Amino acid sequence: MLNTITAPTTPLFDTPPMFAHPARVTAIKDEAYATATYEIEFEDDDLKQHYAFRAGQFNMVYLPNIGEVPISLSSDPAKTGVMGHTIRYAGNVTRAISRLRVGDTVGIRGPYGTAWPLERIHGNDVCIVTGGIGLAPLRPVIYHIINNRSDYGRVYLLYGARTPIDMLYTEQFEDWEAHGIEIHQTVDRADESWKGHVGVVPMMFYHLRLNPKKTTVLTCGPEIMIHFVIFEALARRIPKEQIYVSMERNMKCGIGLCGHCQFGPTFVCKEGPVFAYAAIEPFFGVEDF
Amino acid sequence: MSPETALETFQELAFTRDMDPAVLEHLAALAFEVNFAEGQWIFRETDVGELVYLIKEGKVALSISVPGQGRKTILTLGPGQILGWSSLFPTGRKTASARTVTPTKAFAFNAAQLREAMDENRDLGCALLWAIADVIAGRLKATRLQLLDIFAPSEMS
Ligand SMILES: Cc1cc2nc3c(=O)[nH]c(=O)nc-3n(C[C@H](O)[C@H](O)[C@H](O)COP(=O)(O)OP(=O)(O)OC[C@H]3O[C@@H](n4cnc5c(N)ncnc54)[C@H](O)[C@@H]3O)c2cc1C
Ligand code: FES
Repeated sequence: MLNTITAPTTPLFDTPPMFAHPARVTAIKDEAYATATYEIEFEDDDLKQHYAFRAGQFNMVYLPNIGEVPISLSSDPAKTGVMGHTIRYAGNVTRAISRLRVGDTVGIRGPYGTAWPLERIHGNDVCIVTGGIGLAPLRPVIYHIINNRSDYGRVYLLYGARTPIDMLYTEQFEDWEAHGIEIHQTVDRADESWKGHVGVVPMMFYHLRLNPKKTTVLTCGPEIMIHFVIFEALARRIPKEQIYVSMERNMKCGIGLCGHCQFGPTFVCKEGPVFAYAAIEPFFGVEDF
Repeated sequence: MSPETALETFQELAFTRDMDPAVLEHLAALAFEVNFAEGQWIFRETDVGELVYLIKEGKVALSISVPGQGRKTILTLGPGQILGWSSLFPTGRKTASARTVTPTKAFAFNAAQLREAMDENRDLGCALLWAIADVIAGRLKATRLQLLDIFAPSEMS
């Protein structure tokens, strides 16, 4: 098996695998330009109580007559009953999601995919490196670390966005910092009123002094960004076995049947989206993979 | 600041920490400490710079004035990063302006003196050129990524 570290969990549902369960939007919060977080609850009480996911996993979100898209869970995995999805409106389905109102119904199936290796890295320093909407699948990691703070060493969040107003979850940063998450924010462009960093997120490594032996890097974002993050992490002698990436590919079935999400010899929906970099190195960044 | 204290700080800062102790001693003898208040200009675009800085504490924004669009910050630098390296090269003219975002402490080096020392002490010259090449390569990589504008909203939004 390609990626033994973060084996997928089996969805709890005792229904055909492609069946989407009705779920209601219970809250919508605007996060940034064309991006909002949707709180969604299953209509079925039993499902609502028993649904559980691990940080890094995703659901397939279905809109009748429109389509279905994979969306990561961005809420606290320890909180049951409600699922959080932070969605950036990119095209057909996500734009239709932008027209949903509280009380509307969607179809949900999941959780699918592999998770971040949070148990495996107990005792380690954790360096989370992400940009834009890429923070959504990593927010559950931050919740988990805060809920289990003594299991981890130093925790850094290096977060990049296009401009200051494109940053997600900024109202939570103070609380995260109070729990010992060291946040380094940077933007690609800003006027002089911005007091944070300017520069691409991989450059934030230059501001840290990491202990390569005990640091694990978790990264998610545009693939080209991940590429540069890996480069900087390796340049700091962080072993490739301690680097984990979350990959995106267009998906259809989400359960390893259709081949839509093929990435090298793997399917992102099943053996990913979270991969150990050491496992995908041979085909990561290779054109047309 | 005594050369001994400067030496200890160099051993901590990213730009210098891997350099040979003898090289650092020579560098420490050439360095002097400078302090800048928040919002202070360190140099301006087109200035002919005489100093090169190694930031010890604080944050400095590099910006370029774009006609019709105002001043754009292109990069911020912090502890352990070098500022104003273009002073070491023949024209020495600054291609960006530098202004502190927070109160900043730095080591300053006179560029002419440093060049002379690099010529005389080949170990120092070699160590500094490698370190500066590494900085330039890093900034070139970062600029390429910045040019790609990877977080731009999709055309369909
Ligand atoms: C495992 C996984 C987790 C994801 N988590 C989230 C999340 O938490 N929040 C979120 O907003 N989005 C997430 N996405 C991306 C999301 O699934 C896509 O934006 C969505 O499928 C686009 O569908 P659409 O019908 O709105 O756009 P389309 O009309 O299908 O496409 C619009 C544009 O987006 C591009 N596009 C489509 N899918 C992707 C993709 N997967 N990656 C990059 N570009 C794409 C298309 O090429 C096109 O240019 C995730 C994707 C995967 C695979
Ligand atoms: S989406 Fe069908 S195999 Fe992955």
